[in-house]
Amino acid sequence: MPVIEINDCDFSFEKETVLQDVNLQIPHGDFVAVIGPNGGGKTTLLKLILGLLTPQKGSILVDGKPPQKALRAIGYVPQNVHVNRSFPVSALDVVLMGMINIDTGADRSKAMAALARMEMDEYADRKIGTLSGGQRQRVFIARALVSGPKLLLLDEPTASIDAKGQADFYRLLKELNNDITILLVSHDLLLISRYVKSVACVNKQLYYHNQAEITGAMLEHMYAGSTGETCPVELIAHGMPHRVLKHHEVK
Amino acid sequence: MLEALQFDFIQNALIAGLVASIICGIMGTLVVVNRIVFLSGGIAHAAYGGVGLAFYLKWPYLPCTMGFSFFAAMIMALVSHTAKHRADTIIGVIWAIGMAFGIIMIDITPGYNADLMSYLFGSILTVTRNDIYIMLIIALLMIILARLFYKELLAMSYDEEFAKTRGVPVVKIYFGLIGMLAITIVLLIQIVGLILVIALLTIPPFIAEKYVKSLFQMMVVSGLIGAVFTVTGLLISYQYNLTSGASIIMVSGIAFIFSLILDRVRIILRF
Repeated sequence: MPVIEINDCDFSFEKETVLQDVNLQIPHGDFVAVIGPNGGGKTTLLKLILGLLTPQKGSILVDGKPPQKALRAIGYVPQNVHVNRSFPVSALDVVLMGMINIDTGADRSKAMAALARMEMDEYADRKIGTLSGGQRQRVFIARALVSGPKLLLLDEPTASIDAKGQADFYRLLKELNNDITILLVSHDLLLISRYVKSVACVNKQLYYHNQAEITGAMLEHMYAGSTGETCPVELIAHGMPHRVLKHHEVK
Repeated sequence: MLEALQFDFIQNALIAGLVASIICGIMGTLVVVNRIVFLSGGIAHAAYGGVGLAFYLKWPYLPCTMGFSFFAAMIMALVSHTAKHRADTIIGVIWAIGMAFGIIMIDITPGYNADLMSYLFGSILTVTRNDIYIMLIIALLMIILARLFYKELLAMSYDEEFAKTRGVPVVKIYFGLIGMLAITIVLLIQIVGLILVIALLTIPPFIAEKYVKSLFQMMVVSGLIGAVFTVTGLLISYQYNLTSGASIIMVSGIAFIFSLILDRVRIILRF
């Protein structure tokens, strides 16, 4: 059973069509990057998968269930980590928000474990606004992970991290990807981590490129050397000068 | 100054001020972190329409004004939730219409002219024991509700979208919060006036926010700060024969400015 299954989905805001005929099947263990121009529907796609929006046509299943019933299976890391910085809440309490409506017992120890996994346990009692952007993001990932999700959704996660931090960040995601399916929305058309296993291009319609189309070997062949180990980030673009992916076939 | 305490009306005023501080500590914290100060101002002013209506129809003040304000508040909540970009304009319009409606109602009420000032600044010195009992009941209700829905209120206030993805009924909680706010404001207007309500709702939480680590602490500390302002203001108003409501607001206002200066000093000292 795929983690995400979208069949013939249409979504429009008022009269404007945002997404059309979207079909997508994300298998377990995938690491998908969703790319596309601004206004192309990336965030809308994410909100549909989260169950925050409902499509006018078609169906969406997460872990075999409608998104609203699959809350436990989904961990969500929102884009803006700078929201409400003066808010009086500790890092631990933010992580505990991930456990609302989920009866597990031992909430605090689970939240501490999630923070520890993000190497943020020593900051548990710190007020969230006093942490750096990157630290806050780790807390938000801990909040998403604390409910033990099968799918981790991240909206533009690297916006608040510097270049060095991004390398660490992607290594962290790779580690998480060992047991969690990851879907990551990137507003950057050109830069995608080498740990990404597949790419979904969204611009009203959706085109999915699986692992076979963007094999690491192919990319390494094209971009060997200089970028190497320090920056696990590579170029993928449909156009010139380097065409790594084929042009989309017009449906 | 201590001899003031032997007067019943001073005792009542102090108790009313303390209970109002507790209520404002809880609701004010939620108002400040949810950034609905303007909406609260809208409810407080629109409530005057309910006051006018109560006089004109000769209906009892409290239920009539509460009903009117609750209705106005629900419209504001609906607008602020569905059309965020237009919310401030529409709240401003309801604010103005509510007040104008109230004044016209009082104009056409034969033989009676209510004193607008007493609703702006209240008349804390004329508070009765009955008023205090009603306030205590509302304060107790507030504490129970805040306790029951603490997690949901916290999640919604901090990150509404994430709260939705965890299945928190954000819309219901939001409308519930605004509804309670309308009831609180109407109750307190009668006693401390609508300007003092807004001051007590915003200034103590604003000062408390910087020194606390949780929403709960913010509610408690705001309540304490509000209590200090109220008592200090009342004593000053007694000593120098000044309007009580305005004295409490001036004490709060001066503390507010002081806290801003203190922030600057703390930032400078850090370098």
